Amino acid sequence: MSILIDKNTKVLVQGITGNIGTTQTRYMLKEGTNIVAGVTPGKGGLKVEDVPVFDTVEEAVNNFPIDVSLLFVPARVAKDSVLEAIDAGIKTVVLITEHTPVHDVMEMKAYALQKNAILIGPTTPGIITPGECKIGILPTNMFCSGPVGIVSRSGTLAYEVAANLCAIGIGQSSVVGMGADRVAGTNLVDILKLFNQDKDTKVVVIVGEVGGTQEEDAAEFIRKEISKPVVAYIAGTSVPPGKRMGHAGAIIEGGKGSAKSKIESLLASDVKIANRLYEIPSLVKELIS
Amino acid sequence: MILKKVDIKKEIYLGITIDRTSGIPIIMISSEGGINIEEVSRKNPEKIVKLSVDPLQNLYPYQIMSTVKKNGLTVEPLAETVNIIAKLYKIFREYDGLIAEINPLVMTEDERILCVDAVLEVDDSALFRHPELNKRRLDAMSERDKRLMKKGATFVRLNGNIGLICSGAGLAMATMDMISDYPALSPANFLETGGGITSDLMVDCMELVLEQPKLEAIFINLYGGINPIHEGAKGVAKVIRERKLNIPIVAKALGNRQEETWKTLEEVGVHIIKESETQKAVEFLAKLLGVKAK
Repeated sequence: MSILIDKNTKVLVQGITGNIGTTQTRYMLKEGTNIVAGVTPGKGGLKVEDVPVFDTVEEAVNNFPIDVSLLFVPARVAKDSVLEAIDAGIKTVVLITEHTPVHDVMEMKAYALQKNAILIGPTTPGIITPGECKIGILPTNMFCSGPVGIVSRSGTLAYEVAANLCAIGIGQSSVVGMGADRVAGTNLVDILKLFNQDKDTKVVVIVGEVGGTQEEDAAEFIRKEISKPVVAYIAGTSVPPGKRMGHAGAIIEGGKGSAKSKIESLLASDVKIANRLYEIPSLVKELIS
Repeated sequence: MILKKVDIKKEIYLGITIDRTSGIPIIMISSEGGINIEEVSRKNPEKIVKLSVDPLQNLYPYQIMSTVKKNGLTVEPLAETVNIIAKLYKIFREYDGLIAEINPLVMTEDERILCVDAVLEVDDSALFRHPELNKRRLDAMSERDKRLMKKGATFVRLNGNIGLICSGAGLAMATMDMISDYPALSPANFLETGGGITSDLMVDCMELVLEQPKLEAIFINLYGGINPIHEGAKGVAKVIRERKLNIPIVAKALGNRQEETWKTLEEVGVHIIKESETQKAVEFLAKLLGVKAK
């Protein structure tokens, strides 16, 4: 078991003929992801490796059963491409693209909600269920299969946390990058809900960072709804207010979004806090045994 | 600036922002506060009336009118104020606003409405559809800043002694936190490469970091997921060779093509940490510089 994706998941890649789309498709195919089709408008009829390319998502869906669409499209067409996938009936959409205008993200999020679809991202490294399926850009050699669910706002921190867990023999059920923008297609709370329902996930690790109130909302939700042990780490205790730290969403503004506020909220919900990244493995190990 | 004095009857705060969790624009109106709106939001948040707008729908004036009436806000003249709110929302949407504010909106004794101060913060990611604003931003940037921006890299000056180059904002923040655990060390900068590392980008990154005035060492922390870190390593090596650098450089680089990356960096004297824990690399750096943790 896992969340969102497993070995049976059939994947469409939108933007498959672009540089990143093609490179990452090759990595994923080599690692066993079942990519059944690709889409690039105007490139219908081509093949990337052995994957057939269509002009529209509708054509792809008419030819193959598809569970998840993974998008490597330029930010300026991200909204159009996400709405196209949702309108074609695809229920899980993963948007890797960085620097998507937040007004577009608001529309995508609202549209996904309306159509009962799950939008992961933007600015996400994707999702991996180690040993079964990877949808995104996560370097597979950082992950291994096991009982820990990881949800992270940052991509690279998810890699590091997973690698550090693997180093002491603790694997992951699924790892989800929820994205690092101001607005996330799917909120932390919704991903926690999925991990809570997954019977192979024994411990959940939240990798948060400064900005917004996702972690504060999660704390409230954990207190009320989550029965599994949760470990959390918040990046950015040394971040000064008012400066945007790379991610569109990583900014302490209007007195909201400091690491301190997040850590205090999570502590109040009995979440185990790793003050530094390297403390995560030992905290998880204690909770598993 | 010289302004004509007016007799103020009432001051109103009017703001539009994005609720980050729900991903919905929120219009905020308060008949208290004006300039002191931050204090109102802290002490009496109930005095700020909020209206959420469905991002897939238009906002109609009647919705604003009804919000104003239901919450007992006294604004005069009503229709004109509602019209201003509707217009501000239109600007917020059309110009990809992160924040749009009129504060204060002043109602005068002689029944006029004046917008005394206003702020519009525009989403950087949306500037491609606002060429006039984009030009203004570009005109203020150096060629190198433009190249970094084009690649999606972010630099923030922090004035400490350890230069940072990290692939990933979260990783960069976590690295900053670990470095800050050593009283003698503090980040000279935040530098996140974004997902488009090339050899040339790393040359720019290195040069930018080397300009930091208190620099004593450089710490590089990279993951090869979307990033070809083996290409990035070539840029780092080039700067080290050309400038004959002997400032200590510690690097941790993992992921796709990590062995090539290590080899390129080791050849120019970079200290490579092959473990997955950034902490180990930071400890190594501290030892190299002879400093102790708190």
